[in-house]
Amino acid sequence: MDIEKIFDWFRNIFGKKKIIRLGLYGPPNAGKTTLANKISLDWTGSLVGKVSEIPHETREVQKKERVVVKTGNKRIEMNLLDMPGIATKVDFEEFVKYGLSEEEAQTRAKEATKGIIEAIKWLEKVDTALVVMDSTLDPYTQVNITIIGNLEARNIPLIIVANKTDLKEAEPERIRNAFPQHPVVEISAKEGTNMDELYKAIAKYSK
Amino acid sequence: MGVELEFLSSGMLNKKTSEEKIKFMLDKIKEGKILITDAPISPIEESKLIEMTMSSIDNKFKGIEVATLSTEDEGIFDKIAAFFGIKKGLTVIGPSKMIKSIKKEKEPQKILLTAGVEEEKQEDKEKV
Repeated sequence: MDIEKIFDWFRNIFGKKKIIRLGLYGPPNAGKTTLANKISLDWTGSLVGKVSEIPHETREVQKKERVVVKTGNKRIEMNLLDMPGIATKVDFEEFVKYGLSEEEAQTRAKEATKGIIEAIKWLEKVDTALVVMDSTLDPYTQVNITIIGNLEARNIPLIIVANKTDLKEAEPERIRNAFPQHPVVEISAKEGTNMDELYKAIAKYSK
Repeated sequence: MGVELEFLSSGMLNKKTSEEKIKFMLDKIKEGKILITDAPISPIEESKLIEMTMSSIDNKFKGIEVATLSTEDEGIFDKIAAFFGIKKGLTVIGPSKMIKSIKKEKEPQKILLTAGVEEEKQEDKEKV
């Protein structure tokens, strides 16, 4: 038995929780899957899901199990849960604008509505949440407020991820101003910028 | 086609269970009405509203727009009222096809709503 297995055994016996369920929440196209892929690539070498400019590319919860993140002297083992983007409306005609046929668009819309329901049901099952927002957009939206309000009501720790800071129009300070009561980490999941800060925040706030 | 607003009192809504309240509001929204209530719905109710909305979406009903305003629980009376489930604020909800844009501002708190039927669809209806 090597040293790591002995540590695992002690963690199992004395630790509070060995594996946390880390949920990635946010509206469509905030970069949740890009971030899930980046975290997974960093620590497992493989991707979680496909990324697309067409909204609602992720239409069911995508899982990457037993991702081990090490930062400083901390080690966190997690099941990464990339959630479908939450929205209050789904219009198949929006997808047609991206070149999908009407039938494909209607199927995508149907799957997207199911995905949103699934993501909401998972809200009470995650241990920690990353709420991913696009730094180029107004963060003070009802969807963001609803996600955060639900996590707060359930005492689930959350970290707000101000994503897409590589874009010229990014204004992550708007996110800090909108939600001053929560930790905000500015990153570019696409470029991999500031990921160490995010890992530190996950280690600090997860339960 | 005009925009129909309906004001709902929290007293009437609070007599219903959470699920009944959401269903009651969603049925009116599907009729094309924009609802204004004199209390904010809770985040848990909002998520239930989104779930039920998603179950109702089809080629005609594309979803909703919603915004809530609520006061911070700053004073002792606010905290006591909140403890008993009394929240000051309001909720605006309507069908997405009737609400061109809805935007919340934090300081001072306000909701900016632009309502109206989408022109293309109105033209389509006139053609029929």
